[in-house]
Amino acid sequence: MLTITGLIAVYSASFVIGLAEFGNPNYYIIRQLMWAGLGVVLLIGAVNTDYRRYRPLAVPFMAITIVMLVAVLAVGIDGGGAQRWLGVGAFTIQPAEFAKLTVCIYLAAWLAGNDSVSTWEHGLFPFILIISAVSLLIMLQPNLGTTLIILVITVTMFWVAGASVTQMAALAVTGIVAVSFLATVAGYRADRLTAFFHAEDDPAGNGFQTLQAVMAMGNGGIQGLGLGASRAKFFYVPESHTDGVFAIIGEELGLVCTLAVLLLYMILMVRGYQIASRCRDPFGRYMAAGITTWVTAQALLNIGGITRVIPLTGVPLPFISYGGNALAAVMLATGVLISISRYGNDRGGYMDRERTVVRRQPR
Amino acid sequence: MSRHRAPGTFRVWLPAAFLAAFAVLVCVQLVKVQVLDHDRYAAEARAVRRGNDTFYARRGSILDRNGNVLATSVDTWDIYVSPRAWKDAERAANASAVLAPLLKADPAKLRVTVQQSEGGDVLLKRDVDYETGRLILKAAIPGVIALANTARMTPEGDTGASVLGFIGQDNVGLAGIEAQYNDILQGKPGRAVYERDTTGEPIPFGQYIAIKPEAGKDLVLTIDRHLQALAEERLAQAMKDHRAQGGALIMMDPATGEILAMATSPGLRYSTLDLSDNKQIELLRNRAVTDLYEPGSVMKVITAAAAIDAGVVSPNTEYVDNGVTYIYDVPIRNWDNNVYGPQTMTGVLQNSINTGAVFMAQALGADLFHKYMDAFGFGRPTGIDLSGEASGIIRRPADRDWSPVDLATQSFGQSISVTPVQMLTAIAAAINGGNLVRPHLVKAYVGADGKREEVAPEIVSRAVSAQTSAAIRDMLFQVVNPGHAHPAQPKNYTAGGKSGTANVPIPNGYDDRQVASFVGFAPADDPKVLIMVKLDQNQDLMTGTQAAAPIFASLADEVLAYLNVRPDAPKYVVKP
Repeated sequence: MLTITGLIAVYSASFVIGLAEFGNPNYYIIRQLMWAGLGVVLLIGAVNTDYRRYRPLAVPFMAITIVMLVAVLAVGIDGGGAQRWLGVGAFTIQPAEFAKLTVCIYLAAWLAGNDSVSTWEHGLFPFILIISAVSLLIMLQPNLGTTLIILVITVTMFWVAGASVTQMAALAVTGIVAVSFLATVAGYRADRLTAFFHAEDDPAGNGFQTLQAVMAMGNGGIQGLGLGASRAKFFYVPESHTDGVFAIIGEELGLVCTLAVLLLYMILMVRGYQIASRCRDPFGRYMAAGITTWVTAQALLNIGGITRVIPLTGVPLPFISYGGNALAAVMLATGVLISISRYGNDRGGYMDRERTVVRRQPR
Repeated sequence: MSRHRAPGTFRVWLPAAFLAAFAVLVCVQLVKVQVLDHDRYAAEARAVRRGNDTFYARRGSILDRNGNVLATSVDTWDIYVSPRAWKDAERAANASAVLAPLLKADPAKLRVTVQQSEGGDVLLKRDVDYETGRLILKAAIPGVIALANTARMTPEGDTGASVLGFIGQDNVGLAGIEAQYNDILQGKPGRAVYERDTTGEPIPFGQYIAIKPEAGKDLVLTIDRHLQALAEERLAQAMKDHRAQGGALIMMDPATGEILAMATSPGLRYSTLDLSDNKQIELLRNRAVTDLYEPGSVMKVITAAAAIDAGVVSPNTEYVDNGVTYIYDVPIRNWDNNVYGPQTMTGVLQNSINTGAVFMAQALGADLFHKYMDAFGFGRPTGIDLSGEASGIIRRPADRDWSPVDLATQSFGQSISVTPVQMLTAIAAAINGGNLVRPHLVKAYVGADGKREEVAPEIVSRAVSAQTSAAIRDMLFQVVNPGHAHPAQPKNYTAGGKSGTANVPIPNGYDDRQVASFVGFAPADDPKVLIMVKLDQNQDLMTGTQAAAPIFASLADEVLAYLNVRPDAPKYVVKP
């Protein structure tokens, strides 16, 4: 459902830019459709694969991820002021998107095999080490948005796995210090903060994205201007088909649709955490919690940024924004989540093939 | 049924609560932005995205009375470059290399001009001719924008420039006929209001409201191209011959007030027009209607017409000139300090006797004299269709600084300031049967659809009776035909006229500088043309009769021949 909404929205939001940059209004939508097709294949594959098979693969997955993240830094392709992609011809992948999933898998495996999460020496410190390694690699691209998501995912998983309140508090303090530091060292992040607090001071420059996005949504009103009728996508809202797609949805389809999209994410969140809480297997539970947190937190970071509730972080809107890697990764993760829902309540233990749970519709 | 739950099953709902709370915040913000502040944002969005273009309508042409084009608009292009497109050095180099030869400019200079701009599109050249513009468009040079414009062409060059005036870069007339009739010539400019993207291009399917331009009308002037050129040529020659600082040469149809030619100097010339030169701003006014002078003895015609019309004298009334008349203690002498003895009123005009004019004015009395001054249109604009017309200055009996001396001096054209056109119009009334007509320059409008609207000649009021007018025509014929050769006599036509030579007034007296003029008409009993020749500050100090009258004489011959008027000089009249 979200994916279909996303495809329509991306098409509507991107044809102007596609036309302008590549002489083809369908440029973006065709690429996005290809990735969505791949995403469906990955999703169905993941649904039909018992998630428990991933557990022994957690360490190799993590190793591959780290190698790829290092490779990005070494031989990656630049784009938008950051080095985020690994490319073979026209086909590019963004390892950071898939890193979110491998982090979920690896951390779930580690937490599930760790009986002393709530201790400092066996819980917190190793945990910090693991997430710091991945975060640092992504941070170096630089990609603050994804780093933030990974931090939120991991901290949530850590909490679900039984971290103590003291540990969480320590993490919170560290996190706040780290984020404040990171936000001020890079110029563009400081700009985003300035844009958030004082957008009106520089409406044509620094505050342009923030103001135009809010203006576009405000212009949409309750009903919206009609599908395809956006004015703001004519280069007013930057990144209108990627990070800014929510603003275009708001402008074209109005409050009705923005609330509906928000509701869809909420349903996804409830279902995801439900899967996590019903899962008998700690590995599955932690992984389900991680994936759910990932999708929901990322959606809210994006929408919050666009609606000016929080500063812009530059993360795509899951399922909806243009960006093949993100779409494929999030669909794969959804497949894993459904797989957990399917196999997590199996009473028969590891690798039980008996189907006792009604197969859920892929979302 | 109790089931053991592994640790963490409840813990997952804490992050869920956090996220849900955040989602609620977002909802609140969405409602605020999309519902409560909708109107404000919608208005803001409209304002930011509103584009607005003006399309000028075709500006009407200006034609002479025979349909010859004096000024017309041709399609041109204004060439702009978007600096954004030329930010890339290589692209700018390639683009300027293609553009420069078409604009006959230096590529490097073009690049500098564009790159120095901080604002929007940079205007590189205005009014590039149509064909070149087409070539530029065809070349599709990156960043180059060609906007349609029009340029004003004057096929006759500088001829009539001071009458026509000129238009500014925004197609608005700034002087002359172009300014006076701007609304009619300009038509109604069209407008397009549309939604635009950040580069200023209209958004496809965005709101688009277009108002079509309405073409302006053509103006048919009363000016005759040939006579205008002749007038300008003769004036220039006369100024040279008599070393004059300036002058005016105006031809009018006395019956209708149509101006056939109006040359003034100094005046506007397109070929040397340079608005960055402040001194040239002076040239923009048409001195025939804006500048005042004291007419001198030409005014005696009006004094005589008034006195005869009022019945206080007839052309044959006699009086004795003693060479001087005292008003209280102020002596009024003749211009040549001559004593003429017994004279008729016709003789007063022939010899231009100041005391004779005073005699007539005193016979009228100040009130009646000024009633006639009003009737002849002095002290107020004639209503000619040129902007900036002066009213003239005339001191009246009711004025605080009025003195009986003023009546005396006004009778022979001092203590009264007039414009050349005003004086000419008054003389026209004296000789055309007595009608004060409105001098005018526009004969007809021709719409874009070819429909022609004539401008009817306008009679403002009746100044004197037809009989008076006939008497004045005869008296002025006598001036030009005093029984011996006179410089104002045309070869082939009978004529009448009066000269005037007046010093230039300065505060508390008069300067040595003078204005020499002659106003004449021909043929004498059915005037087809009334001509004023006026020379300002001629350094040879010749009088109006000496300097201006011969110019009138030769012009009368040429103009009437051109107008196909049958010669009526005595040698052509078959005696019965």
